Parts: sequence; C-alpha cells; structure tokens
Amino acid sequence: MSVTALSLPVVAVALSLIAGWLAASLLAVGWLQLVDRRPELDPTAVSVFALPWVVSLAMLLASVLPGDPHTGTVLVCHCLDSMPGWSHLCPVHPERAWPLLVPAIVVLGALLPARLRAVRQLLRLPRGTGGAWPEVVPLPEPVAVLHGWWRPTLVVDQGLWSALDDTEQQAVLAHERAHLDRHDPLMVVVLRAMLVLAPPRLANRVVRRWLDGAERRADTAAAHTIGDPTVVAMTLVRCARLGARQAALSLGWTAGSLESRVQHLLDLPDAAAPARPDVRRSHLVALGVSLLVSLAAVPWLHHQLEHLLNLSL
Amino acid sequence: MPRAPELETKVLETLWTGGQWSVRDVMKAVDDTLAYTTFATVLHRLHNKGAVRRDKVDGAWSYSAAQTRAEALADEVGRVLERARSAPEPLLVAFLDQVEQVDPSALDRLEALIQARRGER
Repeated sequence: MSVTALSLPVVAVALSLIAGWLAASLLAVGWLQLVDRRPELDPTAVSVFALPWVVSLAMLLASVLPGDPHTGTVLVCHCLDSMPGWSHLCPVHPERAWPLLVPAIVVLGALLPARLRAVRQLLRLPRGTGGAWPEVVPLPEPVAVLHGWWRPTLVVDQGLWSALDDTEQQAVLAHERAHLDRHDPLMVVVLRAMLVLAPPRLANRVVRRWLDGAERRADTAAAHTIGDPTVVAMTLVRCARLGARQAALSLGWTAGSLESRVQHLLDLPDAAAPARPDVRRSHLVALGVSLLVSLAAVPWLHHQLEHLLNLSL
Repeated sequence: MPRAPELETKVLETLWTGGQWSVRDVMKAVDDTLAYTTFATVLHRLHNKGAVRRDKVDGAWSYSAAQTRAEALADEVGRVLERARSAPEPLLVAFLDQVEQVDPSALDRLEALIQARRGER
C-alpha cells in the first residue's frame, strides 16, 4: 500500500477522534450543568457518555464508506459522478484523502496521547481477587474501600475497624454491600472508559460527580438495610472523627461532601427504598435507537463531510 | 486460557495457602491443562516482582509466597491510595472520601443535627 493510500485511514481515525472529543466535551459540560440542577439525573452518566462513542463510530464509518444521498448510492465509489476537482473520502481511491493528511496528523498529535494515557491507566486498575468480607488489614490510612473492579474486596483499615462498634461496623458493611450490589466498582471503570474521549479534567469532574451520587445511593441502601438513616449518618461522622485524629495521614473529607451526605440521610424517610440500578433498560433502548439513527445517517454524513472538507481546503 | 495477570493471581492464591511449591505442584493446583513452561514463566515473573521467594531444593526451584495475602492486599491498597492522593483522577469507591482538610467544628454541627433528628422521632 502506498503512503498516499494510508492517508484515508489516518484521516478517518482523526475525524472520528475529533468528533468523539467534541461530542464528549459538549456533553460533559451540559451534563454537569444539568445534574447541578437535577442531582437525581446523575445515574444517567454511563448511558449518556456512551453517546460520544456512537458519534465517533458514525464519523469513522462516514469517513470511509462512500454514500451520496442525491444519487442514492451507498457503499460504492461515486467519484465519477462528482464535480471535477472534488476531494473525496473513498476507499476505492484512498489517495484522494492525501491533502487532509497533515491536518489529520496534527489532530491525532493533539488528541491521541491523552486518550492513550487514559486507556493505560484503566488497564492498570486492579481487577481484585474477591476473598473475605471484609479484609481487615493494617493500611497507611483509616479507610474502608472496595478494592478491585471485577472481583472487589472490601478492605478496611484494622485501626478503623477496631474503633467502630458493632452497629457502626454493620452500617459500613451495608454501605459497601450496596456498592457491590449496584456494581459500582465496575461502573466507575465503565464510566471512565466511556469518558476516554473527553478532556481529562472534564472527565474527572464527571466521574467525581457520579461518585458523589453513588455514595448517596449506597447511603440510601445502607439506611434501608439498617432501618435507620441516622445510624448511617452517625457512622459517617464517627469515621470522619477517627480519621481526624490521625491528621498526620492527611485523611479527611470535604465538609461539603460529608455534610451533603449526612443531610441527604437526614432527609430520607425512615423506610427509605434502595435506589434503582444506574443502567436501565430504557437507557439501553435509547442508546440502541441513537446507534441505529447514526448508522442510517452515515451516507448523508459522508456527503456533508466531503462538502465541509472541500470548503475548508 | 486465562490472561497473564489473572494467572498470576491464581498462582499467588495457591502460594498464599502456605508451604513450598514446585512448578509442577502449582500447575496441578491451578490448571494442569496449561503448559509447564507457562507456570515456570509466571513464577519467574512473580519472583522478579518480589511477590514470591524461591529456593533450590534437590536441584529444582521451590517457590513460596513472599507475603501473606493480607500483607499483599494492604500493600496493593496502599499503592492505590498513594496514587489517588497524588493523581487528580478519582479511583476509589470508599466509605469516606479522601481530601486535605479536616474541620472538627463541622463534625460537631453534623452530630448535633443527627441528634436533633433522632429527638424528633
């Protein structure tokens, strides 16, 4: 294959990446503003941020699959039907994408390294090994964390665990069990994978926002299990105090996030029902429909893309 | 065939049960449909990482876990916590979040709120 023929795949990947990046950026900004006003919508994150991948896929296909809505041709070369001098994105004549190669390389250079770093970080995340529930071990900080995204283990610092009474231990277990039942460790990884296309800072804000919501949902479920939201709220404050005594370890919490969680628990009715799962059937149906619509729009998108590229060259 | 890190975990889980293990013993315990050399490679890699110890017994390597399961887990979680502290990206699902500042007066106020709520019921 000649170098000029290689220009089409490079251009296609660059166009796909820039479309996904733009869609993810706009969606992240919009989603963050929306959930600030409507916090109950934060479970939509995983489904919403699958959309940039749909856009990216549609753009990739539109870049390499010829189609002309005027002539009704799809998946065939329509170069001869077009105006002379008209630049094409055509797998039959891949060398015609040659003038776009340099801008495509610039786009890839700007967007690809951060995406690759994000993927590498995801691949390094521990899968977990399962095991005892909880694993009480001495940790450098007084924390209770779910470790591993595939087979999570609840790992609790020995000092923290021995300082909690039975009821408080039950509250911590109920909270972490709720995370496990809702597959939150897996969902964090899926969400981060969805957000690979977004700018890292925006992606972190979205994940942070989703995690805040996930903690509130686990608190709600724990309150339901324990039967008294104030027990969970008091356990949060107690854990905070235990961490506070070890100031040298710099463990604490934002007053805002702790306060909002306690307030959320105090606002719950005594018989709080556990929250529904994040990914619902309706979300998957909506995602499937958007995928079908995007695929159906590929010939039109291809045509418009060629217009746009010819205008810009 | 399990992926390499998955196989490493399975091998470690076997070694964590205690005692000295030959490559063939590990192979029998984990999955004897895989090649002997696969386990020899995995054990060699784990030894290079410091996760297992090895001694020559009758001319063959005999392996044991360098740490208990709890110690290995504590080390791994410690590394994740360290990374979460230094990197801006959120990594964990924790009972309480990690941040910089502690405000005891805020805790007093929250505790008073909870007690007040309990008094109302």
